[in-house]
Amino acid sequence: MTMFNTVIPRGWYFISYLKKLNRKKQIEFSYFGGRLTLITKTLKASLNYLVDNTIIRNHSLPTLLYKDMIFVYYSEHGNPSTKEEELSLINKLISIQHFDHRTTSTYCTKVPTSLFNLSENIVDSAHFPIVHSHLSSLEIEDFITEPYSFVLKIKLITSRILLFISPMSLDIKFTSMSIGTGFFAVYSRMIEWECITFLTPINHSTTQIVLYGNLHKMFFFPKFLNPLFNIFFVTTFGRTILQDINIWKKREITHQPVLSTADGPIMKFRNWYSKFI
Amino acid sequence: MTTIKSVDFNKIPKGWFVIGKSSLIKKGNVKTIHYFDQEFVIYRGKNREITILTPHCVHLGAHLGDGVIVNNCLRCPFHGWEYNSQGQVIKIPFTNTIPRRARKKTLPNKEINGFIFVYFTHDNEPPIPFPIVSFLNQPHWKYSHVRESIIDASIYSISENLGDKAHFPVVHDTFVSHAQLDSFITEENNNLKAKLSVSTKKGFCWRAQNIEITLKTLGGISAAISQFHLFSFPSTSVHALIFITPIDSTSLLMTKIVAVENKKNNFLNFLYNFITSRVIWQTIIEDSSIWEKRIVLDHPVLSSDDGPIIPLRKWMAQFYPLKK
Repeated sequence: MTMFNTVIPRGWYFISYLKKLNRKKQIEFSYFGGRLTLITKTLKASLNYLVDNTIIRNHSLPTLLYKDMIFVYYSEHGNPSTKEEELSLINKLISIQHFDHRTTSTYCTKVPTSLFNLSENIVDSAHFPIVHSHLSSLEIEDFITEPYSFVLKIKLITSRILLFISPMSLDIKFTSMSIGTGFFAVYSRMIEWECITFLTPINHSTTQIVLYGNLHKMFFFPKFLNPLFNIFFVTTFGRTILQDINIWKKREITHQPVLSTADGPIMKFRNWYSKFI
Repeated sequence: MTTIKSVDFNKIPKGWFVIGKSSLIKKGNVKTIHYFDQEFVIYRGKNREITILTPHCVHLGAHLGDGVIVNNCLRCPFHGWEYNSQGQVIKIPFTNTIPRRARKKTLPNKEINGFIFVYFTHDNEPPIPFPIVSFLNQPHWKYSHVRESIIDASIYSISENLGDKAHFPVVHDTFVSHAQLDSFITEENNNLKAKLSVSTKKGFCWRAQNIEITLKTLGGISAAISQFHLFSFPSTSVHALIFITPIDSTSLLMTKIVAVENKKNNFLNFLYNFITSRVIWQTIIEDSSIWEKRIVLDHPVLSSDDGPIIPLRKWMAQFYPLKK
């Protein structure tokens, strides 16, 4: 259990949009505790671990291009991705209905915490009303795990301040879907908003978060206000994640946590997550 | 039975330790402290009661040092679980069911005479009797000098000084010409009492003196009180109380209190306090360079001139954990 915070789980991770990269160059990124070198022309990726500017280990990583997005498969021992894992990624990406990055609002940040802390947060419903005071409560209605993904159905009861609606609060139902440990899509039919979250480990204690939000319709509001609402939702979502950082910094992952009936499906999530480490 | 060979003198012994003055923690505050080679969270409830507990929440491991005080309980910043002064979770938001395992280890503590005492042990055995330092609340004793310092030494090195008479004329040669251990006995409550005669050099005062010092440990090896008579001036009794608290295996907090018999004259009280504190502090500085680099040998080669090092070790062994 203590490995959760120290091991980067294997799986597909988002690296960048291809159009944002110079196609004639070899580009270096800091990911997975080493230097990830990507040749954009051939989409070949290799991961080098350097000590005093000397390469001590090097292995190539499988890559995948989907709708201009570059994904890399990371495994600690350089094992290749199985066909099943690859298909799972592609099928899930296809299943996201309104997936169109050109109309999104983006939020990108690096957070000093492990991928595990970020991932577990989504099923940890009990901390929302304590840490994130702008939310009233969050209920998990369903949590279904599959070999490479999970589906989580959430009911979020917003506080009055969040949406400026008085005197009522608002219940919004979200569905969150993961692909491996590095990708979450959160969408709500009610407000027709979708947020895609890419989590890519820079090392075992730092993670890059990229959020892409799409808003299609916001109740009765005119469509030209959508970009404004979208920016508001994405930055609120991003800031919500950042509110946890102080707790994660000093947190100790306990081997056998004492859980209460008010907790979300923590152990079910941990069992699912442990398959990737 | 615990023997010298079976115990690990490099570890932290059990006992009552002073972790600071009462002003260390204010009402309604939470702090993280580092003692005994580990972190603890200390908080003072609205009822002024102090609680010291291990730092991570039993639930999902958040650090309780960032928690807040609610009704004399410490509330975890992550999920709002509330711990009472016994370390038990008494409230979990959105549920009335509290898991049986929902409790944390707390350290027994007492707050006496403006100092916070904590009982530390490696196992769960009940605390040894709390040391009662009578002079601290007696009006005929005047104590004004309290000094806290961090010293790079193990608690063992300092404690062994009690019986090591041979080092006095060598390390403390600025004012000691000869030291003799007159008696060395174990008293009630397992405290150790030693009587030491120290001959000072002529240059130390205007004439050489012979000072009789009675040293006594209090509740383990973490506290020792020494009593002696000041000479040359109008005769007065002096008490010097030293508390040592391990921060980790190589450094410790030393709290030194000097009390003199109240002369009803503030100048004289100050003078005696000042001189005695300076002398004691000088001896600590002289010893500390040795303590810093010394190692504890399992089988030291001893001479006939040495003090009761082995009986002292035998007595100290009861406070140390066994070797693994």
